[in-house]
Amino acid sequence: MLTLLGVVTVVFFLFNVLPGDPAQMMLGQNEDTEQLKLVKQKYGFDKPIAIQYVYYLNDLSPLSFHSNKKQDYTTLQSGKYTAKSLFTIGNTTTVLKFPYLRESFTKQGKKVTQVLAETLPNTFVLAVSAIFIAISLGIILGIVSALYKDQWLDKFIQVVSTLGMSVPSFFSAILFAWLFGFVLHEYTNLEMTGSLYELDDFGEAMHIKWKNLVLPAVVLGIRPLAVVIQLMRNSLLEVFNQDYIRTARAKGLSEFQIIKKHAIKNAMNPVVTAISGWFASMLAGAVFVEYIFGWNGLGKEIVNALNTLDLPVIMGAVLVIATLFVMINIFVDLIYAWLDPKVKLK
Amino acid sequence: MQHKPNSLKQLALQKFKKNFWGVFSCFFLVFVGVIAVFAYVIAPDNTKHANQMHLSIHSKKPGFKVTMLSIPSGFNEKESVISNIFFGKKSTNTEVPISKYKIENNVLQYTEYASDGLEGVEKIVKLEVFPNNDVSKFIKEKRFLFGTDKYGRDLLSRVLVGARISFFIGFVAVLISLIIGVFMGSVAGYYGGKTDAVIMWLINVTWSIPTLLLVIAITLALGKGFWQVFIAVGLTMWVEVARVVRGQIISAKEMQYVTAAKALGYGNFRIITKHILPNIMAPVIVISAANFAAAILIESGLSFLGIGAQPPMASWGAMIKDHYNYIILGKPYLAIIPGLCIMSLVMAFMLIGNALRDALDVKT
Repeated sequence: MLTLLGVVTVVFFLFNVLPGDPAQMMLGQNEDTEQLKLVKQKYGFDKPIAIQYVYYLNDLSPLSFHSNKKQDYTTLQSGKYTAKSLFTIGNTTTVLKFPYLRESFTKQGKKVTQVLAETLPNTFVLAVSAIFIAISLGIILGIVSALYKDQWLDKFIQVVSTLGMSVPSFFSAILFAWLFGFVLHEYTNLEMTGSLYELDDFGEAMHIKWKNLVLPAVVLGIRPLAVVIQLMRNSLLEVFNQDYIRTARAKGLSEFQIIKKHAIKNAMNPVVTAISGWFASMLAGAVFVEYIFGWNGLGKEIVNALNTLDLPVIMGAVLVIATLFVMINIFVDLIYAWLDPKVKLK
Repeated sequence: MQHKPNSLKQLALQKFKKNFWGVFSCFFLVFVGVIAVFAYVIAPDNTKHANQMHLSIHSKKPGFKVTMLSIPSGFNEKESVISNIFFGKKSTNTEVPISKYKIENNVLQYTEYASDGLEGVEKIVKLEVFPNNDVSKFIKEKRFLFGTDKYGRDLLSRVLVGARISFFIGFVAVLISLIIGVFMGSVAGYYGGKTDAVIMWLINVTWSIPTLLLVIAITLALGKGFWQVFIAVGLTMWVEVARVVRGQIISAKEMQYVTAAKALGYGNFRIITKHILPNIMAPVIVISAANFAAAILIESGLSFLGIGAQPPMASWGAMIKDHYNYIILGKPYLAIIPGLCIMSLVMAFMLIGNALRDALDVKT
């Protein structure tokens, strides 16, 4: 919670030291001063920055205070907040509401929450698929690598995984799009770009195209895959040196049984930590992949917002990702406790 | 006094030397480093940022040859040799790719180069422009080893000069992250209590914002550009250093040598800097190698998005951004060459990091 407050503060002040008048940015170049004043009042830009900050916090907090006076910034408008009033003291109403992330500068006052709600699920699908590829392949390759330690197969896997870690995601995205979507298009039947939902040929109905998921998910999965391989290999090698594995071997268990029943669960700890870290940064790393594959997700929205300087959208995106990160970390602590009962939950 | 190589440093060095890939990467880095420093000496196009454009010969295949006429610009600015070597030439001759030329009555008549079987425009230049009326020195066959980019600039030169930014950002970012990270980490770890809580909170906050987005936010706040990226990357990467240093210090604090130093009445500052820090440098070095690689990746990514180094500065990421559309036009090498450069440089740092980790016996 405190961490989140810090994130909000950092984000707010970073975006508010920007040179340039946000109200001017929203209206474009040639608007008259009267309108400018109105916009400033509407969004609270005419107030000192400390008060703007308080307003911002109030907008974000699910439990917030709102003035009953019409001209105040915090006045409850049905268009702005989706709120449920709790109680009123004097002129102030306390409400329970969905966090309000303000409105997009460039999309005719579309709510940022709406923009994010439209794009986040797509990114989520992409990230989950990528992580799935990374974990399943990574664990298998990691085991293979550990079993054949220092033989050519292990060395080969090591080289490939180092390569996977060094390649910038936008470069691998371009390469994959070119190779599999263009050069080998006849065999793979994949497109260079495409989103999860596409208009059909008549431009009428949106329908889902799983085919388009393949390339972006693979590309996004490369880095985590490389990391999982390395971690899995190293932690397995460590586990192999433990006494209980020697006991299992002495009992005459097959190598497969040893790995399946004894080694994997114990070797998973570092992998779980890494994946949790990766999942959140993947939502951000998706920026490049989505941009190149034209995947209609949060990352592409961020690039668009960057080009149009649509600050509320960028701020909203950063906050959402940071919140997810914090939540995932809490979740991972729970998984830890399940994997390793020695770890007590705080 | 002569002594046998048995200090920890020497042992680590011995171990490092046995790691083929680590040593190989070291040589590779030195090689790239020399290229980066002397880029303008090696590059065929030694103008500032390797920015000599010839629009008529844009995006030509590697190994493309053309007759090049260079017309002296007339004004000769004094430039020191040193700045030419390190920053490239500022004023240069205008270069025109030509297909044929002839000399008549003190006038040089030439046909501009045109591709796709088109006829180039005919133009004339007075011979007086050239020193001693001697044209022959100014018409040369020019060869583009890697071909030309979409503005007709020499791709090889751009790639060579681009090595600078990648190297430089690595150095600056690692330096900034070390300064902040070691300071924060050691203060938090050594003093503990409230100081630790505050710094840990700061670390967690920075940690929660994905690096790329934080860097984007900082570059937006500071304005687009080259230095802003450096600072932004350094400001985000200190977290990892601080975490490691803090963890190490917390365990080192209990060691006897620290108690001994305290008993001798040394100040906290001296104990941290002279006694503890040298003992915990190993993991910090390993992390710095990884950070170096990460900084290069981030810079290329930002330049790819157009918020890193601004044109005409040559940066590998920006080169990919400029040319990735050409990949389906049958000229994939325009984007692939800089991409491979980024990859090999990052990989070299990662391999060194791995070799160091093994040599220094650091657990991560």
